[in-house]
Amino acid sequence: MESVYDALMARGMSRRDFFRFCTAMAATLGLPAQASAQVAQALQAKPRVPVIWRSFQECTCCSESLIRASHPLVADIILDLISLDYHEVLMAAAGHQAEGAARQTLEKYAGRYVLAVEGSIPTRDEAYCTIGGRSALDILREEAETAMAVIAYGNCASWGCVQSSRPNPTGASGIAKLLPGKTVIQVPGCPPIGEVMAALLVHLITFERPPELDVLGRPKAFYGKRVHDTCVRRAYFDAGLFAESFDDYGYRHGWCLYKLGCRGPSTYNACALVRWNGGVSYPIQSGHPCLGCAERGFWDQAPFYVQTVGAPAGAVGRNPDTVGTVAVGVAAAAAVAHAGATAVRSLVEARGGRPQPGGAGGARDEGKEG
Amino acid sequence: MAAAVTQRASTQTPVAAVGNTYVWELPVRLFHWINAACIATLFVTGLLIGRAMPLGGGEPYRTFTFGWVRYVHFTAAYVFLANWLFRIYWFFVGNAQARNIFAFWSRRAWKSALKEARELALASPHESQPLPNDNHLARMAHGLLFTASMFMLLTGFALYAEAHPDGTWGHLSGWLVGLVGATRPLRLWHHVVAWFFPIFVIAHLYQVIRVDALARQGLISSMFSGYYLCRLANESEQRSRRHEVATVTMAGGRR
Repeated sequence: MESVYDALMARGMSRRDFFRFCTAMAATLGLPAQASAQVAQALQAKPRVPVIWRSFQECTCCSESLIRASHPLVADIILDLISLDYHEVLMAAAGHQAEGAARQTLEKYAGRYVLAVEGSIPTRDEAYCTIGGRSALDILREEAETAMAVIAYGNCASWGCVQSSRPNPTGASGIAKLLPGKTVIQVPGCPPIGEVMAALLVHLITFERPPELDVLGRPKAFYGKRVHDTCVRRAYFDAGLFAESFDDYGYRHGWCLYKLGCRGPSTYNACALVRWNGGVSYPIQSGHPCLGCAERGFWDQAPFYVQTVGAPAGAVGRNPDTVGTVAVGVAAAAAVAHAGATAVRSLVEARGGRPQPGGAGGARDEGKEG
Repeated sequence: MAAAVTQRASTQTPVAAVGNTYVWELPVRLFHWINAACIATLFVTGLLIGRAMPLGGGEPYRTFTFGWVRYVHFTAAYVFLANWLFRIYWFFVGNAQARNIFAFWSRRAWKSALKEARELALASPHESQPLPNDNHLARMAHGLLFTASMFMLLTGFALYAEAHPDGTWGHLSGWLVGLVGATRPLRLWHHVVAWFFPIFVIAHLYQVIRVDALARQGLISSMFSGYYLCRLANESEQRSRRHEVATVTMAGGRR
């Protein structure tokens, strides 16, 4: 099998461009300077890694994002870095021919291919997602078993994303839960950033092992910091300058979008560093609060345009502060009423009246006292 | 003089005045007031962070208002944590009054708490606590306070670690984030449970004022001075509870 370098040269890429690409990749991955040589070496020596790209319950936004990756000199390079043996959106083959290609990779490159999964798996009834007459779960289990690495691209494959939001009719699940004992590289986002997806493939080709992962299985290089901590509007947050609506003075002057429901403070992603569309911008920079699309269960964190989500998690649909304020008011009123009731009973007894069982004691305390 | 305790309503059983008893040791009192200050600070700054009142003014390069609010919140949280850790330590080494845990495994404690709750529901004007710890309903409330405090510390420091998941706090709270799957739900629950505290404070203030006014044993001042006017019904009770009443002195005289 030809190496990545050969494939790129055949495409008419100059050697200089190739090294530039290797350097960019190493930098994107957060590797030390000498690693670009390692990347270059690997790409020159190693054959292209076969990739089976499976699409289950998804909307294809992850693939769309990947083929728009611009830092590794756009999609065709990524498609040259790997031998994409099966990808429903991009391949010309169809039907038995397509499934045959996947089968061939599975047998010929056992232990050497990468399984990339886009989309969630239905667990309530496997019939919700079938390909070529087989259920998504069957396909996933078989192909993950002999894969060199399993990558969960996007929030669907990571945690179920929109299909798993309440009430989750298909029982949609991320893939890591269904592959016990297997290391799954989680690349959440809706979609993830294309450069991140590409860089991850380069890492796998170069080092043949997953990069350093965090507690949720995400590569630390891209998911180690919050959007909030790398945000272009962070100074406004620290100063307490918040836009209150989408047309006020603060908004027009680029103030922090925290009060408009920005999820940046609880979202781990490289948006503010790598940015989108070739580093042009990212949601907050262009004036929309972060939706938290790289976080688990973000669809259930409504309402989206206030900072405090409904309690609990939208089930009640009320602001916890409103509930809390009412509860405090009730407690104060109960204390006053109770004091009155105590005084009345005291007076009745002082006048020689017998204490009435249950009399005058209508007031109910909160059931808590110090 | 301790002996000259005025009798209240005729229906009350006459009690023998034992006198001023040292109940709250200095560390317990200090814990109490530091805890109160921390709760007030944390609740106010926490609301400011959660609601983000417009505090800013001027240009962001000159102001750090919101940053300071968060700084105060985090600092108070550290004090709150240290204070609770100390109190847990003192639970084991302090006097009998410092071990005022609600023994939820004990039938006696539940019976006593239910009796207290019934009397409270009927707004009974009779209050007498030979020792402050005799009220098991109050112990239960403090058990809830302890639980809520631990919950707030756990979720709070997990949220604090958001900025640096690789740090010490990140390693300590990583399991929690892994369990919940994201930090946003933690933020929500941190926010919801925070409302327990003002409700507790209202109920607590009401109850100590009420008990102090009705029982006339100096409950409120005991949290300043440490001394409480202990009354035990008879000699045998005094004997059987001698270990709890560490030092009985005459009329508040300190040794």
